[in-house]
Amino acid sequence: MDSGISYEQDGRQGESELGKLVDLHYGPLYRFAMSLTRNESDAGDLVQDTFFTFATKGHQLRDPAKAKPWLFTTLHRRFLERQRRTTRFPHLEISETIPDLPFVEPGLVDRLDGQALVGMLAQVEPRLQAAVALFYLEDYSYNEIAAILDVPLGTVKSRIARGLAQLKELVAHSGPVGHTTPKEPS
Amino acid sequence: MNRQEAKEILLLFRPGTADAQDPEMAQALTLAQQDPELGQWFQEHQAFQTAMQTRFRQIEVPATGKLALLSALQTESHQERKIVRPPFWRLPVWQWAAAAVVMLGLTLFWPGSRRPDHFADYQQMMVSKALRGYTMDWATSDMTQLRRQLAEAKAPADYRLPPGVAGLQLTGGTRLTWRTHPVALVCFKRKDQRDVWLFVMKRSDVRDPPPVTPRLQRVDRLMTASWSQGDVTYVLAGPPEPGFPKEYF
Repeated sequence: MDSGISYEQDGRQGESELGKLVDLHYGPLYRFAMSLTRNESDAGDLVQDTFFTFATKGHQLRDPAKAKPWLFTTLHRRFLERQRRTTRFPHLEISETIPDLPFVEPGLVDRLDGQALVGMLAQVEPRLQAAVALFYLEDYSYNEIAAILDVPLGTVKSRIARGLAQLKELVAHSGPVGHTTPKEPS
Repeated sequence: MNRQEAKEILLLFRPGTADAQDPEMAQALTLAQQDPELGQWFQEHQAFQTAMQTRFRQIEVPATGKLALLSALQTESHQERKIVRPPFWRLPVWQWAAAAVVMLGLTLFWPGSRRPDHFADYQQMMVSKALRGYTMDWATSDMTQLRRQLAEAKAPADYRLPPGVAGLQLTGGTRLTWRTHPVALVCFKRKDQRDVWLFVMKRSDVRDPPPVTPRLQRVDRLMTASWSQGDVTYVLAGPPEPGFPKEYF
């Protein structure tokens, strides 16, 4: 029996499988999208777009276990496509050396909320952000993160290391009380 | 492996994951157990990592988003699900003949069997474009330049912006089509970085254009205002919030 997720052969089964996928992965995908876009509306659109793509092309995926990385990869690609349309990133060379990490006062992170961290991630070099977000949000191996972002393993490790260093620096300098970004009214 | 090298490896260590199975990581972890200074640094770093991981995973996910998506996917699947049939060359001859007769009959005697051409279809399609993405052909904040580009692309360029919309930040635009009719999409950003879209099409390109007074309606996940002016019909779409899009008129 074919264990692949099918949308054409049996519509009802496809819908229910898709519903399960949405149930399982909406949250993680939304968090990833939010950490990339920092905007609830854009994050919601990206996730929706990703699932719509899956609804039309997902039947090509024969192994259901690959659905999750496929969704993350697609979301990241969609994000890059949108970025290319509207923004031109300055090309930033990533130096191989990782700066010394600052000491972060114990408990400082606990005083920050997810929204504040997303705000800080926005201040990290753009090309490092997706790798850092996946590093914290999911338990993916570095090989899996590399596959999702479509970059070599060494590049992923370098991006995460540099991104972490920048993020730690930002957290360390966020003050002893910890700044939280006020939530955008929806 | 020296202390600095171990630090660089341990920097990427995530507690509670398969990271520890990596041979290099395992070696660095052993060194952290033997070297008190490295061990102290690693303990602090690990506490930081755990806290960060927890906080990131606490990013709030709106419950309505999932429900809206499921509903939209269901609608989409009912509208667009492909029906898999045997390939045409496997159809028996009598089915070919019957199909030909039916097709001929439909063409000759059933002129109403046309694709959706009501304003509501157009409005739904445009909202779907806004939500599901489009290619912004011209990223610009210069309205004159955008009008010129749209005119060159044979899209409506002689549109009038409602007073509130004229005050928004222009981000660009593109040319779309609806049933072969050109549509100008003009994109704006509000101060809170949320998008607002204005779709412009010739009034005569739709069977039942909206009235002159803006008609407010929620379509999918967006709020819309639709109106006609001269030979132009407009759809303004944006976030479904109280006051939108009334505040722009």
